[in-house]
Amino acid sequence: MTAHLEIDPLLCNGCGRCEIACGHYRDEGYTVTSSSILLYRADEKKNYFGLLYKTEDELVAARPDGVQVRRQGEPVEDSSPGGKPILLRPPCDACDPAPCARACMAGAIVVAERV
Amino acid sequence: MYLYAEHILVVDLKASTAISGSFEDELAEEVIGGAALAERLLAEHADRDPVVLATGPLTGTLAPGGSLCVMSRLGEGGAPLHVPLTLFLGSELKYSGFDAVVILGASAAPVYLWLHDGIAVLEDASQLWGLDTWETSDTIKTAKGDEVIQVLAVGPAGERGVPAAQVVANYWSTADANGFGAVLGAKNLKAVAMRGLGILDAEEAEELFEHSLAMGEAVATAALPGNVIQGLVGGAPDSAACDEWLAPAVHRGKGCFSCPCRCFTYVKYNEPADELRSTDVAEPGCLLTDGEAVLTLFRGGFSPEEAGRLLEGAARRGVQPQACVAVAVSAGAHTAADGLAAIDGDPSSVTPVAPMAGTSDERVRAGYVLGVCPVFLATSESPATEELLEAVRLGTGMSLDAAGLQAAHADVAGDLSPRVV
Repeated sequence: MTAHLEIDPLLCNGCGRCEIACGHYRDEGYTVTSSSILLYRADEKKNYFGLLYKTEDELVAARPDGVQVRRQGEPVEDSSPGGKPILLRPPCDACDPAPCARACMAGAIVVAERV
Repeated sequence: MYLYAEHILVVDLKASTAISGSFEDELAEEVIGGAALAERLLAEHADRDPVVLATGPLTGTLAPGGSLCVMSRLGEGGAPLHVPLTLFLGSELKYSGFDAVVILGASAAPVYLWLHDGIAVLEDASQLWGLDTWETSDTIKTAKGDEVIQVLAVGPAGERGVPAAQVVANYWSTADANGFGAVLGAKNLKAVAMRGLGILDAEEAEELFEHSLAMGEAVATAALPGNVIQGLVGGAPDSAACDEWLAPAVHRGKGCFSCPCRCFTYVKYNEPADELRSTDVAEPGCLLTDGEAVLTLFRGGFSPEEAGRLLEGAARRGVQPQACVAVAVSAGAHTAADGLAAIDGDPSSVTPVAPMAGTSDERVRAGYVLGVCPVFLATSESPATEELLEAVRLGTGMSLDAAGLQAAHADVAGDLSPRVV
């Protein structure tokens, strides 16, 4: 059984606390370079922001028009250069309690359990 | 020195030099950071026409609502004026390796300052001169190959010395009512571009982390601003009617770094507002950041779409939205085209609106120094000043108390209203 994040991109306000919290879990410091979850903020002029999230097997793109789940290696539809950094990140290790979900003040991230 | 980037950058535009020096412990313990640090640096370099950008110890952390202080004087001997800017500017500067940047003198030719990885470079901006802020940000991001670079930009209004010219955050208008766009324009400095990939370490890392999460969990998020009207001019008698008027154009609200508020509202007018996909329309709308300006356009008979277009025009030009709106409405305009024609017809008449309104709120003033957004502090009862102090103590190891914090911000002059950031 693996802990798994469920993300509602429409609740996200784009503050990036999840990314900083996960980075702190990894590096014990405040940084945007080491998290398994990433605030997608490349399309700022369109206000098109959401979260990208990497597990061992999957890449989750939680964007305003929906949540796409892809197996690692499969292309994400309509991908843009802004999503590239997530590919270099370590996968989520399903830590408990998940700091990304705790840090999110908008209720956009919840930890669910699945088989 | 924990929680700080530990470096202050001094940029001499006349000599084309950028020198990074240590941010010494003694100075940090005395001024803490933010507006108090900026004021100290302003005084230190008083004879070189300085502009200072300064973060606080809590900027870039999980303390809710980080901000960046921009401070300068207008004219020789003038009082220091400052504005706290939000979105991702403060965190990006600090992660790029600098707590503060002092900008001195004027460049002989247009330049922009590029900050990353503790490195500062003055780049040629001759190709940027004359571009609007949207074009400027796009050009820099494309040239550097990174879409999330944060750009503090000057528009054509700043280049031409328009009194209400403001600094713009990437594409969006800011709370700058001090004419800092014209100040940087006179220096031939088109932009400060920042990308931060550094790390801020804390003295008591785990304790600060837990304390910060607890501060966040204690915030009553339901009572916080949900849009540009509620947050900034929610007390106006017609704010609910303004909300209703704006609603058909509203796409989605947006917050700033590490903040639960949605003080800013994105409106669409070049495609349906409820379009959630990223379409081929490259510029579907504009992020509204100035509630007062929106309210004035509502009262002035604009449609929400035309209001959005006018405010896009203000942001592109780098003109304070309220100043832009005041000219448009007094000219009897009801469309963006007519309003912008009035502004472009006589730019020298576009003067800042309500640039100063002091606050005596100790907690908000503390935010100026700590690098915490004053709108967040003004609209949320939590965290208390003591909790913010505890975050600084855990993060930096400094033995800061309320008296020390009060002493640091007591001399900060040129306070402005926390209504608009």
